[in-house]
Amino acid sequence: MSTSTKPPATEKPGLLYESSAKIQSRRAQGRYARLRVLAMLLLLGFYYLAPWIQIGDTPLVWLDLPHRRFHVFTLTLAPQDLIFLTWLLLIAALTLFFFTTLGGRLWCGYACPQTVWTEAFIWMEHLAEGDRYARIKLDRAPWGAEKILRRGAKHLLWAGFALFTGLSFVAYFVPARELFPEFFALQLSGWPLFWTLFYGFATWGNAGVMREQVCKYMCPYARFQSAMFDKDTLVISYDQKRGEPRKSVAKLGGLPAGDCVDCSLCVQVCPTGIDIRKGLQYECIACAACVDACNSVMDSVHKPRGLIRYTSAHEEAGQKFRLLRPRVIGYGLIWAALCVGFVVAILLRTPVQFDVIRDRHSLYRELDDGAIENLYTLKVSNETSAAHRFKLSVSSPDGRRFLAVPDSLLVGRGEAQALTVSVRSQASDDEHEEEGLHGIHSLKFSLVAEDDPKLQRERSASFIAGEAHD
Amino acid sequence: MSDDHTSEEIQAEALLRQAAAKGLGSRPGARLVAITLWASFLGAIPMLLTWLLLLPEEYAATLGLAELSFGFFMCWLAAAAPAAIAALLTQAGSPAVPLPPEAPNEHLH
Repeated sequence: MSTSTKPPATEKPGLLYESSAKIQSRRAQGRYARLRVLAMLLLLGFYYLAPWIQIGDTPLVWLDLPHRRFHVFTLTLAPQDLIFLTWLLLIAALTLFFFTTLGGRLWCGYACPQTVWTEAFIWMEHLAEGDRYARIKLDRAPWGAEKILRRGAKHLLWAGFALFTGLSFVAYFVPARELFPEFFALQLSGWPLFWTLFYGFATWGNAGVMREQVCKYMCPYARFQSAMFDKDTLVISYDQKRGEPRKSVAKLGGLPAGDCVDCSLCVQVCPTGIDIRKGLQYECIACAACVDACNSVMDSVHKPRGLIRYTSAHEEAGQKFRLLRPRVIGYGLIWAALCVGFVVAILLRTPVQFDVIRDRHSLYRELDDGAIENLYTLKVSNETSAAHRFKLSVSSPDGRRFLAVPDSLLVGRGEAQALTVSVRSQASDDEHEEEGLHGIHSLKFSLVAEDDPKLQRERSASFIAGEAHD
Repeated sequence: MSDDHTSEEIQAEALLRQAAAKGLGSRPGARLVAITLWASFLGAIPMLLTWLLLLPEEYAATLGLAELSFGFFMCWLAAAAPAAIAALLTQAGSPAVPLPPEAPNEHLH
C-alpha cells in the first residue's frame, strides 16, 4: 500500500478545489456571525453618520487640520490641549490591552476596520454572485453575459461603497455638508478629490482584494498579542479530547469515533485559512466563524455544542477559569484611573488659554513721568462657542499698582490672538513708594471675560525695574 | 486512498495549502513592500499630528489642505525608511511562511 501523502493518480480523492482555482470561503451562520454583523452595522453606521451630525453648526467630529482644531463631540481640542490627545491615545492603548487580556482578539474579530469593511464587502459579493457554490460555479464558467454581469455588479457595488467610504473619510476633515454637494455636482477637485479616491481605492483593495492577507502578513497586532495573553485569556480552541479520533480516522482504524465528523467546515469558513483543530495559531483573528460552523454541525448530528468554543488554557487543562488575576487587575486599575482622570480633566478644563511672555529684547523703559514700563506678549485662545471681550488687569502682591495698555481685547470664537501689551508702574502719591520700585517684581496678570466672569485665567510674570538710583 | 490520510484530511490540507499560497503568502517581495507601506502609513499619522501640534502659530496660519497633504507624504516617506529596514531585518530571520509541497521553493535569503 502506498505510504505517500498524495493520493494515487488513478484515484480522485474528491478534492473540492483544483490547485489553480480561487478559494471561495463559506459564510458561517450563528450567534457569533450575528454579533459580528451587529458590530459592523453599529460601527459603520457611526462612521458614515458622524460627519453629518452637528452640534450647533459644528460637525460632531471634525478634524479641522488647517486651523489645528479637533472637534470631537462637544470638545474642541487646540494645540495647547496636546495633553488630552496624548491621554486619549493612552486610554485607547490601555483599552486594547485590557480587553485583549480578558477576551482575546475581540478587536480583530469584531471591531477592527479591516474586519468590518471585509464583512460588508463579502456581503456585497454574496449579493452579486451568490453563495459559495454559486461562486465556484461562476469561477469555472467561461466568460459570458451572466459572468460579466455578476462580476461587474460586484465590482460596481464595491467601487460605489469604497467611494462613499473615501468621501466619508474626507468628510471628517472637510465638512460633509460642503463636500458631498460639491462631489455630486462634479465640482470636487484638488486634494479633497485626491484623498477621496485614495481612501476609496485603499478600501476597495484592502477589503475586496487583500482581505485576510492584511491580518496575516501586514498587521503588527497579531505578533505582539502573545504579550497580552495569559492562561486565562479567552481564545478559540478545539476540544481534542472530545473530538479525536475524528470519524474518518476512527473508521479506518476501527476505533470509537470522537465527536469531530471531519466535515472540515471549520477550515472552509476560516477567513485566514487555518485549521483550528491544529491548535491556536497567530493567524486566528477570533472571528468565531469556526465556532458557528461546528455548532451547526453538532446540532445536525445531535451532539452537544462547543467542540470548538471560546475557552482558556487553564480551562482546557481542567482548571478553573479566573476572571480576576494580577494582569487583569493591573490593566483594569490603570485603565479606570486614566478614564476617570480624563473625564475630570475635561470637566475642569477652561476653554480659555492664556499665556504671558515677557519681551526679552528689552529689560525695561523709564517713561517721562518716571514710570517704569515692561513689554509683554499675551497669547489668548478662545475655545468657546462665542466671541468674548476680555479685560486684562495687572496686580502685584505688595500692593503696587500697575497699568496694562491695552487692557481689553476681543477674541472671536475658536480664535487665538497674540497681542503686545505694555505694563507700566503707576505713578504714586507716595514718592517713597515710587523710589522703591527697582529690582525684579512678580506680577499677576488676570484675564476675565466681561460677559462671563466664569471665564478667567491668571498668569504670573516678572517685571524688571532696574537698579535703585542714588 | 492513502493509509496515512483520509480524503477529508487531504481536502482540508488542500484548503490550507491554497490559503497559505494565496496572494502575499507566495510573494515575499510583495509582502515586504506591503508591510513597509502599511507600517510607514501607520507611523506617518502620529508624525503628522505631532508636527501640526508643535508648529508655531505664525506658520500654522498658512496651512491649507495642499500643504498638509504634502506634509503627510513627507511623513510617510520619512517613516518608510525605518519600516523598510525593520521589514528587511525581520524578513531574513523569520521562519518561512509554510508553503504547500507543490509550490515552487522560495528563497528568502
